[in-house]
Formats: sequence, C-alpha cells, structure tokens
Amino acid sequence: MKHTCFRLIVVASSLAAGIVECRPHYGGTLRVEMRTIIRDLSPADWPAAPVESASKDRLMKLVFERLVELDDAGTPQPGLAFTWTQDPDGLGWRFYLRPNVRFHDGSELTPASGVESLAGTLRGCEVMAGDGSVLIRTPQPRPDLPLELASTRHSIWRRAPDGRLAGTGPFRTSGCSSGPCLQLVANADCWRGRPFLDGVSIQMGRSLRDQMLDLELGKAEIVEVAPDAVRLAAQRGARIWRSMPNVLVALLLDAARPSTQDRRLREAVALAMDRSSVHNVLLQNQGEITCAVLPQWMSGFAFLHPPAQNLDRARQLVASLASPVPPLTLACDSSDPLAQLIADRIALDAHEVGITIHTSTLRSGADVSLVQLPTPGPRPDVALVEMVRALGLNDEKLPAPPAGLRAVQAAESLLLGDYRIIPLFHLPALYASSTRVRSWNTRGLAVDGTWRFEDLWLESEEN
Amino acid sequence: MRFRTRLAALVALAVSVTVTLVTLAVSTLARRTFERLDEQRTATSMAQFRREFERSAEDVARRVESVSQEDIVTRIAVELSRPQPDYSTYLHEAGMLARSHGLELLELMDQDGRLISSAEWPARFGYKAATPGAGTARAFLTEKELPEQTVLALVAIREMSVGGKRLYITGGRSLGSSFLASLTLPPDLHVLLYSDFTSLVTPEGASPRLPELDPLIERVRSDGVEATDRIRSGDVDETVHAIPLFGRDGKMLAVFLVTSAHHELARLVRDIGLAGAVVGGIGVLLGALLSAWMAAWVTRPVERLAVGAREIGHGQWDAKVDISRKDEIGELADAFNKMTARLRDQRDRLVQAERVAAWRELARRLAHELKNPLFPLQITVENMRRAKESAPAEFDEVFDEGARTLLAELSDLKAVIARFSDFAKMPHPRPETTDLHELAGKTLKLFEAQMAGGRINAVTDFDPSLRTMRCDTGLIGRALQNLILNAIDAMPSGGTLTVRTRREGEVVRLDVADTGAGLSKEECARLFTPYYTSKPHGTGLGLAIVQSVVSDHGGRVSVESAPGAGTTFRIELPVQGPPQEGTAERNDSP
Amino acid sequence: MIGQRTSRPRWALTLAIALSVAGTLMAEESALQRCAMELARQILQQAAETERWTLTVTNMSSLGEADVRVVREAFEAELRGRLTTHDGESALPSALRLAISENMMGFVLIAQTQTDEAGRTYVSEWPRTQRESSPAAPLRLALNLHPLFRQSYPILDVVPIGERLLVLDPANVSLYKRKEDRWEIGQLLPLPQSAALIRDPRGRLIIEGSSFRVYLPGQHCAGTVDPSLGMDCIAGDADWPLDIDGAGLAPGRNFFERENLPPFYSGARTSSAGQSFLILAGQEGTAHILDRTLKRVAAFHAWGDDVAGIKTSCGEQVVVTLPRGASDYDTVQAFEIPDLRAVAVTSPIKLPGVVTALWSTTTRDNAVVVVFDVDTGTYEAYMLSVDCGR
Repeated sequence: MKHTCFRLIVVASSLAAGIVECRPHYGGTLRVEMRTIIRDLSPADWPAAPVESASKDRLMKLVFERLVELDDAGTPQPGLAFTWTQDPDGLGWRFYLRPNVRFHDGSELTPASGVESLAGTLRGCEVMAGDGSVLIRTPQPRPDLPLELASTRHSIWRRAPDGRLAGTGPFRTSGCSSGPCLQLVANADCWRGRPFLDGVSIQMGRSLRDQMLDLELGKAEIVEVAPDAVRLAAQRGARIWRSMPNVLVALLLDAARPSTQDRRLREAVALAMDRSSVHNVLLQNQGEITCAVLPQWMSGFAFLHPPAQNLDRARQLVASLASPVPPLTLACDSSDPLAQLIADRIALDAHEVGITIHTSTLRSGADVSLVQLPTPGPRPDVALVEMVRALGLNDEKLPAPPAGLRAVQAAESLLLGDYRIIPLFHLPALYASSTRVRSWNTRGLAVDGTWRFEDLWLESEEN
Repeated sequence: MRFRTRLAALVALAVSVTVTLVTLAVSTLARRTFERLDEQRTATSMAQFRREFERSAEDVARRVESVSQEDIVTRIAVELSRPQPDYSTYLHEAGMLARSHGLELLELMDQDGRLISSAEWPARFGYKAATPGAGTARAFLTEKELPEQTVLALVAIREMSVGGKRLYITGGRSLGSSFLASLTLPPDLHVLLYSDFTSLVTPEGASPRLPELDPLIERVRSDGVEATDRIRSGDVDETVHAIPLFGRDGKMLAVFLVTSAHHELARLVRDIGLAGAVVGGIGVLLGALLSAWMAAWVTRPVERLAVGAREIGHGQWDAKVDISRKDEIGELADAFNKMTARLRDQRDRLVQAERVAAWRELARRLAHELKNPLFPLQITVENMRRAKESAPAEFDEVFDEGARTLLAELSDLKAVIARFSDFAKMPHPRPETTDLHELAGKTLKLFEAQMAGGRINAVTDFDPSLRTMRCDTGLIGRALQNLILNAIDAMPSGGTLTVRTRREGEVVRLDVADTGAGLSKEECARLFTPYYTSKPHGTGLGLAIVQSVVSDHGGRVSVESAPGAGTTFRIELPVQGPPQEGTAERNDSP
Repeated sequence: MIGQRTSRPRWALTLAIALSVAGTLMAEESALQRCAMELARQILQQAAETERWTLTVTNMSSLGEADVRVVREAFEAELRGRLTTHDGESALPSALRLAISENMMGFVLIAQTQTDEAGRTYVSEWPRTQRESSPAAPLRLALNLHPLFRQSYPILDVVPIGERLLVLDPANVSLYKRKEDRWEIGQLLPLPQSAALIRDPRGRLIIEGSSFRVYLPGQHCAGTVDPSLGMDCIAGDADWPLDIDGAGLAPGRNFFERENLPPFYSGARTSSAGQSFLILAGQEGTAHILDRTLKRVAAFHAWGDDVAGIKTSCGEQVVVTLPRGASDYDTVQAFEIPDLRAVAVTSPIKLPGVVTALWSTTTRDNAVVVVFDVDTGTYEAYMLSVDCGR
C-alpha cells in the first residue's frame, strides 16, 4: 500500500496516435454525462439521497466557491476569504473577503452578499457584514467553523437580476436546450483565471451503457464508468480517471426488523462474505476491500479491520441461534446490474453458512440493503458523522468535528462492532474520458472525486 | 288435457325418443373411433418426443462444440495455462457466449472445478465444484442448481487443453417450461415433467403437484420403465404416459409425462349431444307442429261435432255439422246430422204431443172450471122449472133466488175467463231502476193483515250491497205477490215467511221461503206447469205468471222444497235488467 | 487562529517560510518522536503495571526506513522495561503491534495490544508538513537529464547559480543553497499578486551576472541575487526573452502573440548550414519554420508545444516535446534541421511526467525542463543537455 495514497488521479490507459498538443488550448465545450439528475443547483435545497447529494456537490463546485476551501489533505485553505481570525472568546470569527472578486452577473463580492448567502445556511449563528469581512458569532465555541464553511452547502452565491444563480466559480450556468442537463459557460472574469474550456455541457439521467456508447460515438468526452467496465473502456481507447476510493459499498441491516435483531446473525452474515472474489472479478480490482467505514487513505486505520471470511465461525453463530434463520431479503439498486450481481454473490456466500437471502430490487420491506454511500472526504471526522447520518444510524456517540483520529477510530470501532453496517468495498469515482480531454499539471479529479473541469482542455478534433 | 294436446304430446315424445336414441348411438360410435385414433396419436407423439429429445441433445452438443471453437474460449484456455491466471475479465463471457449460441446454460470451469464464468448464475464465479468429468460427444441429462431452484438440464461437455491445463465448457438447456413449450404437439396432447419427483413443470411454468399422478409416478420410479395410466381430471378423462428420464450415471432424474386429455373426445361427445339436442329440439318442434296440425286435422271435425252436439244441447235443433270427408270422421258427421234430423222430428212430435197434452189440460181445466159453475146453473134452472111446475106460488121466490144464484155463477164464470185472459195478455217488461228491497217491503205490507190473521211472521233478509237494479217494478211486484200469496197459503197454521235478497255478481237472487208442509219432488216438477195447482181453489196460473215474468227479465225461477221442510222459491235476475230480446221462450211456451 | 495565507509584512512571511523550510527535517523528526512517545504513554496509562509486550512494527506509510527507525526507537524508549526481548510473533498473548500508517492529512501511529480476549487500540497522529523540499532523487534517465529541484508547487523556471539555485514559481522567487545532498531555502521573495492569473502559469527567469529578470503574465520584475535577494516588479506586459523579438504573452492566455505571426506556445532559434531559422510551436499543433524574414519555409507536424534551442560543441539542436498521446509521460527529443528537414539526433527520452516548462538557459548551452510527476504530484526541474560524446 506504500505510496498508493498519493498516487494521483489521472492514469493514462492508452496511447492515441496523432495527438500533438501538449500545452493547454482554450476553447471547446466539454460534454459530460452522468446518471443522476440534479434539477436545481440552489445551495438552499439538497437532495436526500447521498448519491444525488454527492453529484450536486460536484456540480456546485464548478459554479460556486466558498470562503474556505479544503486542500487534498483536508486542511482549510483560503477561498473567497483570503484569511480569517478568531476572537479571543472563541465565539466570533472574522473572514476577510478577497478583493476584486465578481459574481457571474458582474456584481462585486461584498460582505453583504456573503452574509446573504451564509445567513440561510449557518443556522444558530449570527452572520454580520464587517469592513471587508464577514463576521460570524456562534453560541458556543466552534473550532470547526472554517471546516464547516468549506462545505458546498455554504457556497457564496446570489440571485442575479435575471433570476439565475450567480456564483464566483470558474463556470456560470446557462440555459439548457433539452432534457435534464446543465450548460455551463466559462467565467472569463474568474479571479483564479479563465478556464481553458469555453463551456461544459452536462447531460443527466444517462445510463452507464448509454454513456459508454456516447463516448465511443464521440457524443461525450467524459462519462461515468462502472468498475467492471473499466478494463473494457480502456481497451477501447478511453482514458480512465479515478479518484481515491470515495464510495462505500456496504450491507445495511435494518435494525427495525425482527429478522435481523440478533447480533449473532448479523455477525454471521459479515463473516460469510467473500469480498476478495467480488473485488477481483466483479469490481475488476477497482477500489479496495474493506471492513471499515472510512477508507484507508482518509483515516489511516482502516487496516485495523481486516476483511476475514470465516465460514466455520459463521456456521457456529448460525447454529447457536435459538430459532431457525428466516429467509432474509436483500435489496439493491434495480438500475445497477453490478449491484445486483454483488447482491447475488452475497446471497450465495450467505447460503454457504445456512442463511437464505433472497435478492430484491424493492427497498421497502427488505431486511438488508446493499448501499453505496459517498465518503465525503478528506477529513475522517467529518466523513464519519455525515455517513452515519446518511445511513440513518445512531450518531449520538460520534465525536463532533474537528475530532482527533483516536476518537474517530473509537467511534468507528463501536459502530462496526454492532454489525448494523457491514462494509464491503471502497470504490473510487471512475470516469472514462475521450483522449481529447487533457489535463497536465493539475488534476481533473480531486481526491474525493470533485470535478476540476476548470483545469481541463480539449484537443482540437482535427488532431 | 284436451285430446288435441294429448295427441301432440304423444307425437313429440315419440320424435324425442327417436332422436335421443340416434344421438346416443352416434356418440358411442364416435367415442370408440376417437379413442382408437387417440391411442394412435399418443403413440405418435411419444415417438415425436423421443425424436425431439434426441434432436435437442444433438443440438446442445453441436452448440457447445461451436462455443468451444470461439476465440474467446481459446483465450480463456490460454489464460488458464498461465502460472497465475486472471479469470476476472471473463466473468460475463459465458453469458455472452450463451446468448450468441442460443444456449440457456453455459459454464466455463477450470480443471480444478473452479467456475470461471456462468451464464445461468453469474454470481457463482470462483466457486469450486466437482470437475464435470470427461467431455462427451452426446448431451445427457443432469440436475443443475440455479439461484432459485434446481432444474433438469440437457447438457454437453467439451474439454479444451492448453499447456497441460484443461478448460471445461458445459452448456445446455434446461428441461423446463421453455423446452416443453418448444415441443410441437397435436392439440389436446400435453407434456409435463416431474423434474425432481416433487414439483411439476408445464409448458406454462411451474405448477402444483398433482396427487392423482402419484401412483403412476411411484410405479415408474420403482419399475424404472414406461407406464400408462388413466386419470380423471376435472370433467375429463386423461390418459397419462410416463417416461422415465435417466442421467449419465443411470440415475433416474425425472419422469416425462404425456397426457392425452381427451378433450377432443369430450368435445365430440358434447358436440354430438349438442347436435342431438338441437336436432331433437327441432324434431320436437316440428313434431309438435306436425302433431298440432295432425291433431287439428283429426280433431277439427270432432270439435265441429262437439259444437253441433252443444247446439243441439242448447236447443238449436237445426244444428248441422258440415264435414265433407270420406273417412270415418265423415261417416260420423253424416250419422250426427242424421241423428239431429231424427231428433228434430222427435222433438217436433214431442212438442206437438205436449201441445196436445197442454190443450187437453187446458180443456180439462176449462172443463173443470166451467163445469163447476155450470152444475149450479143447471141445478138452479131445474129448481126454477120445478118450482114453476110444482109450486107456482113459490116460483117467484124461487125465481129470484135462482136468478141471484145464476148471476153469481155467471160472475164466477166471467172471473175464470178473465183470469185466463189476463194470463194470455201478460205485458212485456219495461225495465226501470228499482229498489228491490223497497219493492219487497211494500209488497209484504199488502199482506200484513192477512199474515197477521194467519199467525205468519214475516222476516226480511236483505243484502245491503244490493241497492237498485233494472226491472219492471210492476211485473216483479206481481210475481212477488204471487210467491208471497203461495207462501201464506202454504202455512195455514202459521209460520215464518222469509224474503231474502242476495247479490251474486251480476245476478240478484230473491228468495221467498215458507215453513209450510213442503212439496214432493213430483209436485216440484209440475209446479210451474200452467194451470197446475195444488190448492182447492187455485187456477194454476200464479207460478206460471211468476215464471213468465222472470223469464221475460232474462232470469230464472226455481224451487227447493222437501216434505215437512218448507218451500223456498228462488228468483234469479240480471242486475242490468232483461235482455233486449227475450220473448222467444215465452212465445214458445205453451 | 491565522489562515494559511495572511497579509503579514513581506519580510516576515519570507523569514517565516524560510525558517519553516529550513527546519523541516528537524521538526519532522521531533514530531515523529513526540508522536511515538505520546502513543507509548497512552498504552502505559491503560496497561497493568505487570504487563509486558512483544513489539511488532509494521510500516504502512510512505516514510523511509530512517524515519521508521526514529519512530521505533522513540516508542521503545518510552516503553523501556516493558518490552520483552523475545522476537515476538503475533500469536503471543501479549503482543503489541505498532503500525505506521498515513492518511491525506498526515501520518498515523496505531498500536494494538492483545491481552487474552480483550484488545485495545491506541492512535496518535501528526500532520504532514505543508511545504516539503527535498533533493531530487537520482533518476534513471541520467545521461542527458540532470535533476535539479523538486517541490509540490508549480515551478515556472529554474536557474542554477553555482551552488545556489534560483527558483521561480507563481508566488515567489526563491534562492536555495545546496547543503550536503539537499537544497535549503536561503531567501524567498513573494511576487506581487497579479490580477491576470492564468491556469497554465508561465514564467521566465533570466540571470545576468548577479542580477536577474522575471517575466510573468501581466508583470515583469528585475532583481539581484547578491549581496541579498531583492526584486522590484512592474505591472504590465513586456516582451518576453524568446528567440524572437517583440513577442509577449497574450492577456489572460498561455500563448504568445506577435504581429504578423500566428499564436504560438514557444519559440526557438537554430541554424543549419549557416542559415538561421526560427521555430514556433503553433497552437494548432504545427511547428512553423521561419527564415530571417519571418517567412514560413517549412512546417513539422509531429512535434509538441514546447521547443528550446541548444547550442553545443556538436552543433545547434532543437529540443522538443513529442506528442504524448493519452499518456501522462512526456518524451523529449533533440532534432537538427538540415535542409529544412527535422532529423532526430538523439533518442527520445521519457520524462517522469508532463512538461510544464521548457526553456533554453541564458547561455543556450542547455535547457531547463520542468515536469509534473503525476505519480507523486510534485513538480521536478531537470537540466537537459545534449551529450556530444554519445
């Protein structure tokens, strides 16, 4: 595992003859496709589903910026605020706004506009405009406030006179011609510099199969790709982009159902899983096998929970149950053939230890769910809290960010010991891109899977 | 039941019985023929199944062979020969190969029995099973475990060897619903499969076990040979042929059942029955029509005879039956007409005789009535002559006395003649709205003193629902007077006289009853004969007048009496009054 | 609390960063030691007085053996007397496993004790040092590619000055001194924040004796290296020191413009058979060969966007980047232009990343190439020379 954490995201998988350009070229529209549909970029409205929430997060980062940004190490870095200070009493924070920053509608970023954005999202806090700064007073000391302000939910935005949302990011929104899509246009006045691309066209609601077809037909430059299709996509000449593992694939056992009340049964299910076969074959070795909620690159202690299939122990646990094990229902995403295959394999593994699992595509009434949950990185303390909340599990014993690794590790161990959640894999965000899409000294994909389209450019087609 | 109806029913019954017998006969013959054909067809189908099974086996073997010749299979075999083979990229190959080669089942397995790729159960990759054994040129039956069930499958195995490592290709198709559905069978022939002796597979899918098949299945399992049985399924008999199916190791894996449901036979029987019913129905209908026509043809002269007889009965002696047939019915009509002619002659003679008798009676009465006063006249005249001859002195006195007697007797003679004259001059009724109860009350009042003297108690019993009626008040009052007078005369020692009215539909009944000595049957029979009387000084015209009045009103009069039980005269009159014509009988009356 | 970039006086910031970078190693070692000792103290607090352990150390991080040794020694020193000398196996009942791991934020020390059925886990962490500067590791392609410098921030240009190294990045001009086998920050001059940032930052550093000039988008500076590093900057565009006069960076873009010429990314002057040519790497992926009158006389279509002219004892060559296709590793190759033909005179050399800058040195006998290593995420500067002896 040495060094793997710091391997960068963009990995070339093939050579395309005839490409002669090396330096970034300006111009062109990047066509991107995705499965989820995000109809509204308003920071005030967030989808409940974690996958959609993560998709919206990615889109918003192309349009909006925050006072504070997190670097790849999860350390708060200056964003629209070039610096910040905390009052001696620990309750007041002052974020100094970067001068000469303009919204997409041409208006200037002012403390008032910062207050307008944050007043709706920072609940329980008093947000005021200062001299070139935004003042935030919290009821209790909030050492994590810069961390929290780095969240996309606290993006700085304003409603332009034409009704559109205006941010300060590298792209501004434009109209969409047809279907669920999002048109972005380069922000020529971006304070970080104009993106190389003229625009980004994001088509939503496209199945993985259609996305791959569109990539091959030259109708899209960047598409999502399933782990089991990575090798094929690479063989067909696409470049594969992967983030650090940022999606947790896990079994979630419904605590409310009597069939999964017995902890021994839940542990038996966990011990029956043959993760390595699924990882090697179904996932084509993409991502990591895990028994931890947080990925190793994020926490550093995922190895404390080594995956171990122990069929004998699982059978003992099943035999020790007072009553016969009733058949369990495992729900998985009906639109994801890979998830269904994984679910089938899980059922097969469970069958080996005497647990009958029927797979289903209906969530309601299921005893067990195969879930895919984004791991919002890179801070482990923040990620654990958000993931537990997204799963609907008890978050009372979780340490509030910012928390030390020791507390996070203890909380995660406690969580895993209950076997309500059985982590299986950590998967990266995977994209197949046309060879026309280029990036060089920056990454087109952040470690947590965030898009950095502002640093991409397109080779001209005649090349 | 009328003769015509009975005749029609008998004819219809005869037709129905005939049609039913014909239908049964045809049905039985058809059933036997069909059963023979069914046996032949089932035998053909069994042979066809065996051919189909063999063809499927060859087809499976050929397809698996073609799979083994695919490049990708060769690449997998080459990959297996590497020191550390990577199977992961071949996960979906079995599925794709199966689809492209039209196989339902396809598994690729290394020489250790590790599953590389499975079309039917993709999630089972990497699982280790027993090696499938040496490749076979022919397909064979085996049991395949699938995610939800174990199915019977027809599979073939091919073996590839590259670099000393073997790759097994096991492909085939399940002997499930789709296989059964693919068999081309004649209608009414069905195939079933007891794949694991507990569950039943039909061309439409899994089906609940049929308990009625259990004995046959058990027999086949124990004997290991084909067997046939006949079971009852619902309303239909089914012939079931059971064929045991064996795996490569000789183990019996399933029983194949061919059922001939005899639906055709049932349908044929039903159709024949239906046709019989339709034909029978039509026959019955035609029979009914025919029988009705025949009955009418037969009975119409009889009915005419009956009408003629009825007319004769009603006194229409000139009734004649007009039937010009030359058969027995014609002879019967002719005889009837002759009979009526003779009856008319006899009646005429009888009437003439009766008239003669009546005239005789009249003469007798007249003689009697006239003789009575004549005798005193004769005596008086003789007395006067003798007095003149023997005692002229007393002659004047005798003459005066004799003259008074003569005048008195002559007066009696005039009275007799007047009564007869009155009877002859009875007027036609002039109907008017009459309160019968008031009329009866007034009439009774006329005899109040007479009844009081005779210790007769008058009682009225009037029907309150009867208010008025149409009649000639004078004539009806006169008739009532005659009856009351008769009743008073009948109770010389006193009694009770009852006048009773009742309305019975459109008829008014008026009873006059006494509690006198009553009449004998003979007296009752002669009671209404004119000039008949049982009284010493009666003229015999009272009740004749009553009868005449009642008859002129379209009613009738009757008497009920028995010796010692009193007498009741009953008049029945139409409420609406006398008919317009009503004089015939009176005119005809003597 | 102060954010990462504050508005301190320039000298204070310069000094702070200089001290920070200079003390990186020492500070990191002491942090490692402190972290290990803190972890050991956690264990001692929880363990019984009589408990003894057999220590197993596993390194799962990117730390080298020396750092692991430091951690182990500090850990063992803190647990002195409680560790058995027996070479432990994990199966022993009183096993103590120490794992050195890392995450995106820093390094993590994790200790696990296993006594009977119960096991305890202890965690200690220390953040990754922000600015790392380390000597370039020896690379495989050493014949004509000499590693100079490496950092995690973009490098725009590098000029060796004896045992010193002047480094231009988008924010600073830094002067490093060689100390043993690593570069140590000497002085650092922040550049004024330019209003005209571009996402493909380009910059040029020209040294002339002890003075130097800096060319950046929207500004240019002049400064001296000795006696101390100093610099003055002027906002505004200026002609860049390319092999063609009158060319400057297009505003807000990453390419150069000059009147009567198509936009180009880089230019190089070379000569062949007594004739001088100007080579411009055009935007459309074509290298245009211009004569003295700037008339296009030839075009090459198989070159990349960066060209640099080198004058050696064996002639004049043009070092060019080659099309890399979908790869993240650029290759460079030297060409000569006899008879207006591009003739390769060296084998292509694969670089450990993509080229972000390729400039001729001031003396034009070598070229500096800056590469972004996609595997390590660092920028590496190399001296590129053509060895006539090969």
